[in-house]
Amino acid sequence: MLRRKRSKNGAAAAPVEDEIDRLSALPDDALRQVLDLLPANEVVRTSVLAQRWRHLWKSTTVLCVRSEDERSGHVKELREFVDHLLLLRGGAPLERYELWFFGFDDEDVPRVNLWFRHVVMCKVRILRLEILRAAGPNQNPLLELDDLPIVSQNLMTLKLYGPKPGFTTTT
Amino acid sequence: MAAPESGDGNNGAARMVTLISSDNTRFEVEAAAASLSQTLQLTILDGGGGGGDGIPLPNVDSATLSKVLEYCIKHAPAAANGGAPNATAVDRAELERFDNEFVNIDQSVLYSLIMAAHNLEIEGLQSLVAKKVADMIKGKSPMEIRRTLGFPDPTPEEQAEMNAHMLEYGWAYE
Repeated sequence: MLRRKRSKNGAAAAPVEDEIDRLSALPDDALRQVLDLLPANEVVRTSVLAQRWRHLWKSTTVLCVRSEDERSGHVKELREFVDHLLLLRGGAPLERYELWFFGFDDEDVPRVNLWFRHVVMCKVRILRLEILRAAGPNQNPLLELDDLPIVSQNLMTLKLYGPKPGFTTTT
Repeated sequence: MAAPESGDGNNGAARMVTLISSDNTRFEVEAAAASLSQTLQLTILDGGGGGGDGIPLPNVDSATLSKVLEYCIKHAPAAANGGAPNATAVDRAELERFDNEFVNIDQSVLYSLIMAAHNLEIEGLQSLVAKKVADMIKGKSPMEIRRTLGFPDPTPEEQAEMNAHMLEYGWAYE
């Protein structure tokens, strides 16, 4: 491998062509392990890289949607993204799902609940919702999750920062 | 998480096994180090790889195998301690320094290493190389990623395809 590197001037194209082949030759699991370490928006964007990556993002097991600052962190800003993300990957199993938001309006609450229920159906094992807002006078600073039974044999860890569970948990 | 050693009251000298690369180079290494590979662990527990036998690895060439073993030898002591609960901060910092240095390599070597780590199921090494590639990708535009990963510049057709794709995936670019 080391030997083959850096052919003399002029023959640069061959080894370069090689890299894309070598990367494409890696098993899905190895590539997915890479994707699992990226934030969700960057995971989706890898689909444009090459044919090999086209649909890989749909089967990653870790989704982390995290906004960097308060301005772009409102549920509204990321609603379209999360909708596309979840709908297009369908029911592919999830290991870990994280949502970090800095703000929401009352009308966003049903949507977040829907996402929550969807990922539970995707057999998520670790679920973390970090959703806070600076509440106005008559507003609840906490996002309330539906008072519906959530049945999961897969969920191992549930971390809620901000959302208030309307349900009780049993193990 | 069972300790890889076969527990055969060995006094002093550690048990050695021999691994044979695809290009027929023989590597003699402590069983504890080779056992970081889930793939090899059972064979080794069964007493394989000792004596003149050696375990053939038809998918791993000698350059890659020597690199893989460098990792295993360095990480074996900590792994034997079950993640080293009694490791000092200095030990951990040293391993981290080693890891960072270890993946500071050419892409072709890196890709061979990913393949080998995967075939041999060496968990720590799999994570390490995955993280390296993720760090190469993080925060970059598709074109920058392609260059970083060593892809050739797209042909006009590929470029048109990429543009159409980015349009379809507009929701991920806002």
